[in-house]
Amino acid sequence: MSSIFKKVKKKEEEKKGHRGLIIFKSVKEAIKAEEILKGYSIKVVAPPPEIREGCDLALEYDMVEEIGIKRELEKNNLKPLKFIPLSDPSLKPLQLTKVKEFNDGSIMVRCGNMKITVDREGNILNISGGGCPDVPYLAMKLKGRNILEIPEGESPKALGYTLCAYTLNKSFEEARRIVKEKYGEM
Amino acid sequence: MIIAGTLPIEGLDLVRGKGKLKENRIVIGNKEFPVSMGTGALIGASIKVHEYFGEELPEVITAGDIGTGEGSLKIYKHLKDVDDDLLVIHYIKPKISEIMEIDFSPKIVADAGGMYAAKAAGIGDKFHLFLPDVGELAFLADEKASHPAYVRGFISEVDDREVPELIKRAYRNRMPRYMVVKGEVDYIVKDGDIIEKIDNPRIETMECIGGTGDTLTGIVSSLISCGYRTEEACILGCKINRLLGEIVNPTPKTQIEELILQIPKALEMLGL
Repeated sequence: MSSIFKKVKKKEEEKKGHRGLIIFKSVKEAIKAEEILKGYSIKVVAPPPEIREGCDLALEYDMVEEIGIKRELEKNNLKPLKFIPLSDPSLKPLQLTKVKEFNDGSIMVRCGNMKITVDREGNILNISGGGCPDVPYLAMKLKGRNILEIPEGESPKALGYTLCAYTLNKSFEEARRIVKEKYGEM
Repeated sequence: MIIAGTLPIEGLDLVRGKGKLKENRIVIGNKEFPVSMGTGALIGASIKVHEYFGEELPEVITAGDIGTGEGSLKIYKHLKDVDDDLLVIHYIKPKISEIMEIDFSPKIVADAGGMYAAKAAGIGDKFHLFLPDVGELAFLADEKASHPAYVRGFISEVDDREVPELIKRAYRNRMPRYMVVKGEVDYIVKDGDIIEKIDNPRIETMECIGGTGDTLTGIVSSLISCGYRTEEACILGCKINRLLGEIVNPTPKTQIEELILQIPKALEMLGL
């Protein structure tokens, strides 16, 4: 059995260097910070196990950039709980998406536990999966709308609060990319 | 039977009471809620099963939560002392510190956030039944992951056909006695062993309809509540849910309410 896992195991080791973690009060704040800090060498990771609650997000950053990052967050009224040196970088949110196409041309894009289904024009037909409370909320807000017409400020990442919303956003972005590419919309 | 889970209604305070259905809306006391994906679909399915068997309708503990965790915390507080022998925990913000404090005396069925919290806390063996899909099974199988979003690549990339391997791997961690893995093939698991596989009828579009997993959890737990043994309830639940697909013949656009309405017909077709 272990060979199956070994076969698909990817190299995940990265140079740690002088990197640290920024811990936030909520996933929402971490998502906002990720947006704000796009110009810095940051990536989203799991917080250390001792402070993990099951639905948390932290940002890994280059400690050299700490002053600039702090200034940027302050400017945007974001107050992280703490900045700590990096200890366990092995866990980071899923990026991989899988796509299934149906007979009528609609596609379902899955990232981890989150699925979004759109028709060939980009209309959001269904959202399924997940377990955090913002998933049914996001389904209500997004179903029936066209994925190409939803502004960034109303994406799952912008409206949601949890890791399920973060993962749904990956499916959302991939579905939008496919609709644009495949059907030449916009 | 008690159903505990959030509804996506901003500002809704804690509501506790017997749920009933009025057309396609759930009524608890003087409050009404839509039967939409998530806890709403589970409640709707559960009421339909209880009504069919003429049993007392389930009690619901709910609160509004759009992801901030506010409503979830109110629900967790009500789970510290539970006066029933079957509890279903559904959409709720996963909080390790809170799930550790609940009353474990009833049989507990956990799905969605309830299942995430239980696994992240490392107390899955205190639960009776989990109902993951394949993505969530990968999370249960990854001893390091605290949320399905953090499943490591070498596990999440394993193909859907490797579900039995993932089940074995999950049971190296603390898992409930029973598990239903829902997907193209539904696997019924007891003590880590696959005891039944259900793959017929296969309705491909069911996977993309938000709420089909919720109805499955509602049907299975309600069958347990109505006196069926857990193994039997899991097998029948999967058959009923698939039958709903056959009856409705859904497209990717079909909404969950349409399937819930057909539950009595599916129960009847199976001669229950």
